[in-house]
Amino acid sequence: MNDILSAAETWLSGAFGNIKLVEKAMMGLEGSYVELLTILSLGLLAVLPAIVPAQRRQRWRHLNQAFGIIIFIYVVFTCLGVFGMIRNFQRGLSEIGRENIVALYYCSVPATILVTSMLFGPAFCGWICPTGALQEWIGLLTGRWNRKRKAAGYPFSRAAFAAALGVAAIFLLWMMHLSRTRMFFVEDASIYWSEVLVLIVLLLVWNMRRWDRPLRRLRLLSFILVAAASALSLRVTSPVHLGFAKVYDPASLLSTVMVILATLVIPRVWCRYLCPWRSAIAWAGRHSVRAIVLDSAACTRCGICDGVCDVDAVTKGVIDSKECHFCMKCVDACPHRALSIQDDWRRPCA
Amino acid sequence: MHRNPPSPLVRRLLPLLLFASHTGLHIMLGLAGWIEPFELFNLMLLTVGAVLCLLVLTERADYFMGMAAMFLIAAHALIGHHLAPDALTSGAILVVNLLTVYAGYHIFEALPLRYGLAFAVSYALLFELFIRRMSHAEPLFMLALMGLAATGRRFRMLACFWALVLAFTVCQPYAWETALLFLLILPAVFSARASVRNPVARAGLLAGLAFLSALMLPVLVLILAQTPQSIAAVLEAPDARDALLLTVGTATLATLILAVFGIPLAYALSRLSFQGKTLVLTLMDVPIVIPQSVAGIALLMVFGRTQPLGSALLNQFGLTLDGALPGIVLAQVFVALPFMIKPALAAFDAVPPSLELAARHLGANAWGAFGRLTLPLAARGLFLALVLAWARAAGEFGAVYFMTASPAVAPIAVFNRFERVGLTETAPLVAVILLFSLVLFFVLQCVARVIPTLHAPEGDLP
Repeated sequence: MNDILSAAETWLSGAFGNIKLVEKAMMGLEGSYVELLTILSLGLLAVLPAIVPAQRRQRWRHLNQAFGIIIFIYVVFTCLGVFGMIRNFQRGLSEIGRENIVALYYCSVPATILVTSMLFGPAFCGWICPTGALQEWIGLLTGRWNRKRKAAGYPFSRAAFAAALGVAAIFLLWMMHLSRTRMFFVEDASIYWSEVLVLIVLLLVWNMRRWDRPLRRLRLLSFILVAAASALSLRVTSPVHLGFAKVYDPASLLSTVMVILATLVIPRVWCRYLCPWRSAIAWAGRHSVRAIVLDSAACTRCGICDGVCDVDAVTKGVIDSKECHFCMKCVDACPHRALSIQDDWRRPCA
Repeated sequence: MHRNPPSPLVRRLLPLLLFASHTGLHIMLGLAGWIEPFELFNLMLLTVGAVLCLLVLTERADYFMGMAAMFLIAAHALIGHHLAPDALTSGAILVVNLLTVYAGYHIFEALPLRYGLAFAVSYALLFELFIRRMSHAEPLFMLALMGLAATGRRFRMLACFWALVLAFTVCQPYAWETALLFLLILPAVFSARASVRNPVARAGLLAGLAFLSALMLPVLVLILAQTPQSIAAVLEAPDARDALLLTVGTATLATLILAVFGIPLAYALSRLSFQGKTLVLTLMDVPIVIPQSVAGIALLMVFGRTQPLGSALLNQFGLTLDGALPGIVLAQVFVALPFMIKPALAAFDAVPPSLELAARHLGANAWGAFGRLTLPLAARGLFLALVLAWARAAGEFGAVYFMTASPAVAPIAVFNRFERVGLTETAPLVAVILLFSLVLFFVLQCVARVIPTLHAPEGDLP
């Protein structure tokens, strides 16, 4: 009995000993109005999808994404990135009643995103998110190739599988080497995130049809991980901070590159399988006033909309609101105008 | 609700009038020095007002929304900078106000009146809470208005929104705990269904759940305040570890003793009628009725080493009760007795004697009928009785304290640590014990559900 207990104790102290505590809240730039600008600009960018003319909607969307990147470069410098967003939301809520300005500062981005998602649809993912935009633009390069492969049900050759296996093996060996030669540092987290990404790609290259849906549940897992870490005030580093986020995240460039490379193989791979915010936004989007509605009388089940969707959210016109990014490609692609964007204030709770 | 469309003349005239008064006041107040007429923000608002006026006149914007937006913009341009600290804050509040009007207008128009009323009342309450009760909470008022706009169209979402607002403002030191409790209560209340509409039962559910969660709050606060580090520190401390192990060991032993003697007794009480049965059943309740310290002293007066029986045990068998492990077990057995017997009795009562009779007719002897029929059928109830008895034995403080204060079981260790070093240092130990008990209890409840009973839905038994 004592042996087991002491073993458990060593494991506990080993598991938590090297994880650092966040010492104090990262302060915003004082008098920078970053939170007000964020609310204004994010709100504006989220409302735009309904206002822009339908003929050139996708161009407007790419322009919107460019603005999103500019805003988030400004905001991320004050550390409100995707991972930080969850942690800072928690911190901001705890500050209510003590430091109300600080509370607003931390809550502004997540609250704006959730509120606009509940009113105007989950347009953040398709129209604003900088990580999404990065993958979107990579997807523009490989679009034609990917569409063909998607129509064929994502076949991957044995050579592709072998290559993915090789990359995964190299990553695993590297991590083994690291774990033997040095302690675990949270700063290295993006290596681990990259490893997860590589393993996901490996599974998908092996059998995309089998693993596509089950792996999407990982999003909820990563949300829970980040939320739990923030509740225990452990630091979890964001893998998608594009390298410029913070000095103590030197490896994040690596994982950004890995996201870009993986997107070449599978479009929107980060949004599909790993994004922690996506599960929260999907929840808000399911309760949204604005939604893409199918007129089943006009729909001919031709499946064109399936083909244009980057995240495989549409099947013969029926949209899976858990997955939909509200990019409206399906609406624009439909030759029979069977899909339309509608506001319904009476829509029941999901 | 449907409003009547205004006459075409009014339709044309009103936006122009509004914009003209905006421009006129802009010039007049600018000359008077009340606003800066050439400030970028004010000029921007003037331009947006003009654009909106055009949109409304050409019927490209919703009439009501366009007018409301123009009015809000004019109001913010003319008096906003005197209420808000600066132009940008004023602009942000303007945007949030526009959002609120947008949502409120649609809620009034598309939904039954009660939703609109709830929206308006919520707005007033939020104003009262953030602007009048809290200081410097204007930015939070903005956030709250955004939340109201997003959730106002469904009572369920509105209730969740209010739960969060109340948790994070009024209940602030325990915000996360109360938020968690609220979000557990609300779905239960909203999903409650009855065959006939029953507001009394629903109100009872709401009140009962509120009461229950108020009682649960300390438990949650205690658990959520701990970090993995503090729990690891507790497990590293030898006294805490010894106390936990001692508690687990003695409680298990006490439960075993109770099982060996209590289950047959419960069976006998269930199947036999005899003189004084009521008295026996009443005596079972004595350990519940008397205070625990009294129980401890009573035990000590008989089994203490200076007392006749205690000294006899010591001399004949070398068995010390007080101040030693057997004393702990004895005290635990005493207090846990009714928690073993009562549920076990109920479990045996649930097995009809006619079934045993049938088994006997089919050739089983009395032992076989008990062992192969009654015992398996009562298994779930007996298991729950064991769990209850174990939990009671492990949690006993008073009686054990008088019998054996050292070595200390977990409740006594908590008491000692509290006496020695105070509240803050004791909390992690208490949290560990609490977590341990809760997890164990949960697991055992799950196990109990797997055990078949007479009324099992599987249908393998009658």
